[in-house]
Amino acid sequence: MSSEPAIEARDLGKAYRLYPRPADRVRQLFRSHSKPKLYEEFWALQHINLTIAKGETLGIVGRNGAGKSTLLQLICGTLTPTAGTVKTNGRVAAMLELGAGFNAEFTGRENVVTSAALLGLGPQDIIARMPDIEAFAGIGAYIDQPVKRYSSGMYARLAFAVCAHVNPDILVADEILAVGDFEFQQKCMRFMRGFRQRGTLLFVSHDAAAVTRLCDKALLLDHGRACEYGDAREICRRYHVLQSRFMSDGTGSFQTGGSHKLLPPPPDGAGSGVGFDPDMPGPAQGGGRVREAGFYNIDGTPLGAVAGGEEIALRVVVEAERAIARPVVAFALRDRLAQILFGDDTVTVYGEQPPPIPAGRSAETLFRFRLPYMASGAYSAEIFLLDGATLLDNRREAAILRMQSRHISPGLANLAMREVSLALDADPAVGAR
Amino acid sequence: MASDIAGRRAEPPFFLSAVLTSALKNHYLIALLVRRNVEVTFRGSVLGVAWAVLAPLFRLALYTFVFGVVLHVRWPGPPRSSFETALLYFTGLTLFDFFFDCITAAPALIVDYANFVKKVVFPLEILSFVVVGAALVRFAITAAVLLLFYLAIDGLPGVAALSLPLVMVPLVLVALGLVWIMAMVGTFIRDLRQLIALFAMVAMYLSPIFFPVSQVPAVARPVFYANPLTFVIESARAALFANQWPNWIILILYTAGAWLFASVTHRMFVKVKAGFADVV
Repeated sequence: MSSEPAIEARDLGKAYRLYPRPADRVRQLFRSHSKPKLYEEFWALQHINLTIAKGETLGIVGRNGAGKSTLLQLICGTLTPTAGTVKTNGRVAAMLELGAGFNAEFTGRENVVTSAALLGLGPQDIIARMPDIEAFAGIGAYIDQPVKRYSSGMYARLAFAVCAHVNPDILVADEILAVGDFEFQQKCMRFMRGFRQRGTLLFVSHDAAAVTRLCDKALLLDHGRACEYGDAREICRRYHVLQSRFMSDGTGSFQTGGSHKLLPPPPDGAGSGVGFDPDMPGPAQGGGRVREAGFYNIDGTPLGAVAGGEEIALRVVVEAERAIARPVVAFALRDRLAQILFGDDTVTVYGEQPPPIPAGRSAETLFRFRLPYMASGAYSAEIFLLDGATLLDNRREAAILRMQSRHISPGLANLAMREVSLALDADPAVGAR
Repeated sequence: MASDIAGRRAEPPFFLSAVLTSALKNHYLIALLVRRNVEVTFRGSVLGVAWAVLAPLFRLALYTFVFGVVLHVRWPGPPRSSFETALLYFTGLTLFDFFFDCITAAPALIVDYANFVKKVVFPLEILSFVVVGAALVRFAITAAVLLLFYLAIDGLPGVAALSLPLVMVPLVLVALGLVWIMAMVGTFIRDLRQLIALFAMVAMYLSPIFFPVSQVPAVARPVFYANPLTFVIESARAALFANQWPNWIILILYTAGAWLFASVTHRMFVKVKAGFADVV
């Protein structure tokens, strides 16, 4: 192995020219450089310096539009840089989109041949690897059916099987875990973990848990710039902080004044006092608004990733545009399928006589609770502001909670297990003798 | 590839080799994509590839009826049967179809293969070979039908018919070059697609398909000689129906010019293709 890096980027940048009208693109060609430009430049990526050694695994995280895909496309060579350079050593397999070269009318087998050829395999190699690819995809007789009859999971499995068998030196994977079923995702993860022994892996995902499991190093991109680079675990933690800061602009500890009430232990069979269905809240009437919301540790610092079982706080600031006589603040925590996992409201404590909020004033609500053990992933809190039973304002995805479960089980919820034991009963044969 | 100085000096100028190297280096991928391109038209239809033969047959029957039976158009020269007249038209039209098969596909080529631009690392310049290759396959099927009928009516053609493949060479090269240019321009200026569709209609009457160039008034002839199809159609017809060899000097000059044209457009395309991903 030579000591040359697998990927090296120097001051890499990509700018898109945004033209207000398509004809301006042509006019610009014939325009002198001294005249004002007809386009606006948008820098999707700027000043990226990166050296990835052979055999290294790098995860790239960042919010939507941070420039992750642009960076991968520049490395693969499907995009040309506007500034700087990028060099790669070895065969690059680009998994920018699974099944990108597939044609719906052709069978799985025919599409395997085409996309393997697109990835640079010769005819002999394709014939030799076909049985392996079939076995890896595991779609049985469907391989000879047109891919238009495939489920999206089968489609993804077949496409991934091809990529997995071209033996690249550098594997570039963009959000491929976003498609396919759980079994497929497991297979991908297993393959990529195995691949780390053989080559260089570049992995983009929204799923920070996958990045920490797979990568040694990570790069955090924000607004087209490299924010942080370093140990994957550390970077993912910063990514969470960045995200929760984005969701609520408030930082620092709580300085709560006004009335405070501690919850008595819930009586048996007590229901929530909210008189409306959070899934069908009806139209918001206005008159007040949810200004900010965020999840915090109980010491008031923004919350990073959580594993479940922690005591955390949801802080909500609401603003009254007109006087609110009977303010009610409610929240509902939803998973990525928008299912409500739990929620609560201030009625539980304040009942029918909450302190009114005068017009123009704001109020802070704090929900402090012990987090249940939930599956890894992102959860969002929707916040509602009501006056009595009238909805004034609701904000979807007002705050985001990142769960990184330590449980192995893939279930939606997990137990705070106290004790597990496995003990043999007394041997009946011994007793009988 | 060769980075040392000796290697670079040995490299021939681009117009001698670039097009050929590009085609040979990717011959497997090109062959595969040509096959898919031809197959996809017939996929899912009941008769499948049989359509490739049925369509030209139907057209030949139509021409025989319209031009031979109803209109009684007489082609200059010795008297011919209505069927033979239809074959004369058909020869010109088959060549015209090949040419415009390529050219109408070109402006939308890059947009049609958008996935190849953005999602996979792919030598985009070979798409021109794919388009022209697929058109050649369809042309070959039609030409085979034509030849079968020719054999049935006139028997074996004269030895001059052996020049037919040679006559096709410059046409294929011009088609390759035009596909490169129009794919390039059409990606940035989407209007080209509509323009070409209109132009194809006009071009049919500016090619010597339904009449020989000798029937065209002298003032209008330069228009016909500027048409890359004219020499090819006239030579092919002369070889098939009059056993005349093509004009070798024109053929050699035309082929050399077409080769240069294809090489230059290939080079332009390779230089410009980096910008495609930004607009597709």
